[in-house]
Amino acid sequence: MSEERHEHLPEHSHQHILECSNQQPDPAIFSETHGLVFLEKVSSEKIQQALTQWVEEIREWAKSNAYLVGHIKLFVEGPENLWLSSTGRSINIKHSQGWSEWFTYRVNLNVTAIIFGTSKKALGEVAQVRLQACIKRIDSDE
Amino acid sequence: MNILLFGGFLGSGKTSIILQVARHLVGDIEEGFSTRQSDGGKTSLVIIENEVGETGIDDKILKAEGLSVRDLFAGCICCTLNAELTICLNEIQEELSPKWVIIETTGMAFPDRVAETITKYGKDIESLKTIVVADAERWDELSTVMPGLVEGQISKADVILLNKIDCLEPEQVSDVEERVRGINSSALFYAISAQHEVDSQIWREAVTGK
Repeated sequence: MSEERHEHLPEHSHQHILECSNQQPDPAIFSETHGLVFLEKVSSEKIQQALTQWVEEIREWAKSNAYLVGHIKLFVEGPENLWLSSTGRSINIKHSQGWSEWFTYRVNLNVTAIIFGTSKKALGEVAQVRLQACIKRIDSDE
Repeated sequence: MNILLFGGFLGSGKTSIILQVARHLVGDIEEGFSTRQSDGGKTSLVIIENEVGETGIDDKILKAEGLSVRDLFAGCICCTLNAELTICLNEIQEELSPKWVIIETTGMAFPDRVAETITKYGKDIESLKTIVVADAERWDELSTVMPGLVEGQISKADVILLNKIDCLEPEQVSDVEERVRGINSSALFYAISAQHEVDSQIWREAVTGK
């Protein structure tokens, strides 16, 4: 696997500070969209495993630091779709009807993690590093 | 235009519930899951999505189901984007005049503030119902960490949906129900699990009021 074999271009990477006058602490937000292109077709199962692991890792990082998870959400957009979500407990997995049999060269990946108790910088670093590792796993031969 | 305003904390299950409600509403009109009516292709249901962060996810989930969705990102419609919400609603009315509009607020919003804006500035609103989703699984945690927000969301709801009851024992559900009803005793109350198909009778009562 090499860097050239896939593109994962963050189309958006923003921290939005909620300006509600609701006296609540502002959460840290990691929110990105990636267009992923693979050299070889990959199975939906491989994509799902890698992305589920990303959700697990963010959940465990929040748990080990006693942060409150707002939510962790992920949506794979294409002819078939995958939707993962967690509030720090179980991970809900939903997908379109043909997802399980699907192979693809490309997907659009949308991820959002909203965590209370940490900073935008800390969340961004952890989420980004682990997301890149997850994307590499999808494109690896393992 | 009949408006269903959905509120509730992050991760409470608003989007999952909206998917079911949308199916119910559209099916009610045309016995199929499409937001287009057969007479002239007029849109019967439009969803307004207000999300935290500038990359939307819920809007994509709803669009993937064939629903008509308008996005309002980069702010919260209960405060910073209330003018944008009014403009969006009035444009929908002028362009499409749908029977139903569902608004999904961010998990940090106070729905009663949004309702106030709609009541004051919305055009041709036939009805407005505030539906708040409470997370049964995380009730203890959230009501301890963020009591002001969680109770503020629930206190002025017309309908309360206590979601994720499948994650608790029946006695725990009863306990949470009692505490939720203690905050708002006048709202219609339903304990559900949106992981499964909710009884359509609940949607008839809670949403369309039949």
